[in-house]
Amino acid sequence: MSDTNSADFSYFPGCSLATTAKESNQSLIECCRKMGINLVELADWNCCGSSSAIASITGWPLTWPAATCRWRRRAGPWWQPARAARSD
Amino acid sequence: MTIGSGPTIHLKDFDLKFSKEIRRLAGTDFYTCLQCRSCSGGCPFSEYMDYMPNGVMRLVQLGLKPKRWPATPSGSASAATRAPFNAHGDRYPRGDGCAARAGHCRTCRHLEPDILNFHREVLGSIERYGRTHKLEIMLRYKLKTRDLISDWTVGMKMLAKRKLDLTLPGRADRRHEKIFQE
Repeated sequence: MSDTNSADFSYFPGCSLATTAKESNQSLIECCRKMGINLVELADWNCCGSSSAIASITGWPLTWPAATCRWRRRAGPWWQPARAARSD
Repeated sequence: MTIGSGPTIHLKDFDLKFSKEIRRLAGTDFYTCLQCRSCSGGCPFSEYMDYMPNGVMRLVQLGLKPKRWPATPSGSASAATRAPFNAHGDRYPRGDGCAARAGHCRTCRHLEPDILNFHREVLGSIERYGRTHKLEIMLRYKLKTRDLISDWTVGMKMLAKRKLDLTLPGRADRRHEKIFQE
């Protein structure tokens, strides 16, 4: 649950921040909380593709985060954290 | 001339056609790189690279093509190609980091078959889970290249520091599969 004076924001950390760099993710969440921003991780986000998508097929680097944003948009207003997964 | 700790580069290897070919493949202008070295200085994998990212850019600028590039002395693909290029690109003061790293990646793919195998494993992981599972990617890549022990010290360090997630990423839906089908 968020603090009384903090605003909830949806975000997705990405593969590295969610696994390899968990400590950086925790730092980000804590820093934002100090600034009154409560980051809420999307329940079901895609990998952004990273350098492998860039190196493979032109246009893919935009496709992956766009898919996450598209689903997020359908899940409701951006200022309301989408916790539950929905099929697209 | 040496760049980083990589093999010696001879100026007699200068080939202007190489630069033009890479420029055509990458679709970006490598000559916008100012060689500020912010990409190399902030990279967490610098100590494992034979050529730093700025060194690779300089090689392309000069039209110098080493016999095997980029590669580590152990024979596996350079860590330069595995490092997070998002971190490299975002630090470019010219603001063209995205184009530069895209060109860099395509350059590496063009030159080193092992790197293409690595990218295939990454995309395979995304296709299976929607996200990357780094431990599985590393294991599959090592099996495919049949080079199981060259980087084991780095792998053990990453495991000890909990940098490799042992659990498979869970997925609620199969939305990502549509992208691969398209």
